Amino acid sequence: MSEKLSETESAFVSLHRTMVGQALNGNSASLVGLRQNAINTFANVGLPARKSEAWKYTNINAVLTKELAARLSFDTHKVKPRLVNESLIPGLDSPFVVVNNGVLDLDSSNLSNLPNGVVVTTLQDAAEKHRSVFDSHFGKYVNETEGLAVLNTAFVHGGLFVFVPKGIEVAETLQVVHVVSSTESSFIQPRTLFVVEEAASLSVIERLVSATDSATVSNRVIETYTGKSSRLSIIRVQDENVDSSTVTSLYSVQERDSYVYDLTLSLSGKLIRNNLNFRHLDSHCETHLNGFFIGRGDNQIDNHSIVDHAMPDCYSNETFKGVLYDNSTGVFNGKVLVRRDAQRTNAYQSNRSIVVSDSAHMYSKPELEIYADDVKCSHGATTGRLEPESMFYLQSRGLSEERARALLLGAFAREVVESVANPVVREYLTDELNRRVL
Amino acid sequence: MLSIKNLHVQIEGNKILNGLDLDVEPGMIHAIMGPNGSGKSTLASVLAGREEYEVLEGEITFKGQDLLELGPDERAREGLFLAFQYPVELPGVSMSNFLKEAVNSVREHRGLPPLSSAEFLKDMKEKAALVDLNPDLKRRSVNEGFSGGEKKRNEIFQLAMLDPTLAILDETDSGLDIDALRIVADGVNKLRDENRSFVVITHYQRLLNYIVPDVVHVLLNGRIVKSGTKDLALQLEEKGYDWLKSEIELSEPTTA
Ligand SMILES: Nc1ncnc2c1ncn2[C@@H]1O[C@H](COP(=O)(O)OP(=O)(O)OP(=O)(O)O)[C@@H](O)[C@H]1O
Ligand SMILES: [Mg+2]
Repeated sequence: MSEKLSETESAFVSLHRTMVGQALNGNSASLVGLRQNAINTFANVGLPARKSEAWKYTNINAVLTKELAARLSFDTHKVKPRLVNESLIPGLDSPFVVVNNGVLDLDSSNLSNLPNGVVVTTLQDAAEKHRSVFDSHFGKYVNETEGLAVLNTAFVHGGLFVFVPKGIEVAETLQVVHVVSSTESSFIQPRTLFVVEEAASLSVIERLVSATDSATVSNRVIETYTGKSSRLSIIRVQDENVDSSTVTSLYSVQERDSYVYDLTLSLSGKLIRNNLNFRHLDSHCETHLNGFFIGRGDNQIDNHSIVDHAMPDCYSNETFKGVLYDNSTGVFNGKVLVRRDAQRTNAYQSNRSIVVSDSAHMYSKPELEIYADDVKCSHGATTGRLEPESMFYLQSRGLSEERARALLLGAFAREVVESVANPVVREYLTDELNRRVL
Repeated sequence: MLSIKNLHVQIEGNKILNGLDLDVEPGMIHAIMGPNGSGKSTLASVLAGREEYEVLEGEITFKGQDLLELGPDERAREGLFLAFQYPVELPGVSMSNFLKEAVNSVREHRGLPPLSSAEFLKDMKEKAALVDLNPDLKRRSVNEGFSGGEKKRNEIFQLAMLDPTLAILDETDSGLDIDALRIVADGVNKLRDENRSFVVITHYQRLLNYIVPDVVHVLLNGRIVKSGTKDLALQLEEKGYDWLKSEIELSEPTTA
């Protein structure tokens, strides 16, 4: 252990030492080895420093305290069926899984509608029973210089593994309910791996919910692999209680001719930080990333994204929007990197935010780094109030100020959800946003 | 119905209205004409309750109430309607959802039950026919991508839906082609009755051939400088405003 470690970092390193062979069990040699390598890496890279540009507005160390290490939890309090039911989309008669404090709870799940061959299991189980898939993908896409992501790997336990083999198109949307169920202020590290092989497809909607009012902290990592000519669509609805914080690090890689759709809806939480990383391994990839966030109270939503165009003839389109109330803070830092070989790239980005209160703040920083010469790229960022002309028009027809605002914010929010392909999901999310922006 | 006394209004430090007086009785149609920038839309905005305009002096009563005490939404519910000179585009706000909410908020204020969806649709159909509004437009976002003329028809359509007691039409005729002008004017005429008053702001005498006013006013430098019958509009069409300008300068040498 290096002397430079902070108290929190040391606490995690010691915790790892005591947990190996106990809570961190599992028969897979590869998993054991991965955890050990990860904690060694963590000891080198450490937690994100406030000084770093990527964490300029978010002091993660205020959330990740040394006490938190002691509260790392794999507890699986039984999840109440009512909470699960409330978290599922009505009218979407589709398979669902419950992930409880980061551990897949198959007893609470229903996978009966999934096509044969599709695997939904824990990462431990995958490491043993689907070894070659697991070994070729798990941990392969995480950025090893990101301390939070490697910290997640170091303690990987349970988790969720979804594998769609070659040629299988999953028609139904897989619903994943991530419950944070602890009754005390715990720390959890959910981990997910989605592998969609060649000419296959998968749509997922994840919902993050709290079972209690406890202030919890989650450090989540999602890795996704979208194979040649495949499609993967993931929607995340972040809706934990207002005292809970969540960091999500998503690493998406795509093969030739593949299509990825990603939507992050940040509706509730104390601190929400999303690190969204998209990379093209081959040409002719299409990537759509969208987000909508609502800030209230003192909450903060910090979206960092990187679309890494390393290959030619790829397309990306990014739209992030948000509404900030009260004293909330929003951050958008969207980087589009077009490397030298990524000729004929089309990359678009836009970030629009509405600041409802004078004491709310939005920091928007689009970053375009372009090293290829034959590209089409555009970006735009606007932050403003609701247009007084629009408010007046509605009010002059008899709508109260509140209703006028609700109609305008609803319309503003809805645009993001219009990109959702499944009509039942789209309508559900539209209603939800209409309600939540009020 | 409406009574304005000695109204002084400024916006961003610019004095626009300078002691304007106007009385509109129930069932009457008043036309207001005046050169560009004379303050016609300012008057309309102040009446409708646009906050950015600062009323420095004067009073406005509407159906016996102090209008300036009311917010824009309350004025609308009390029966005041402004057809905008430049209707606002509201992308993503559905025309029919918005209008249903508007109609029902007005009805609630009048002690009427909300319209059912079927009643509302029927009413929309009838009122849209009144101004020959393309039915597809009701399915779109408010004014988004509407042509200039469609926007103006849409204003009169909303007027018909909201059934106001005082309707202010701010240059509803500009942007309408010749046929549309007649259709919209016919629509307005059908809405005329002894309890509903209109204030029609226009630059062109032509509109007043269709919507025949009871009184014509000239607004100049923020005041009503002349009022008369519909013949005044013909006179203006012929002579412009210059003769009036010199007339006021003679009668009133102290212009600020
Ligand atoms: N927000 C503002 N800030 C400053 N001046 C303004 C503002 N709004 C209007 N004005 C000014 O007030 C004056 C009157 O404008 P208004 O729109 O009422 O004129 P109008 O009589 O309706 O003209 P038109 O016939 O061209 O429609 C103009 O000189 C205009 O520039
Ligand atoms: Mg005007």
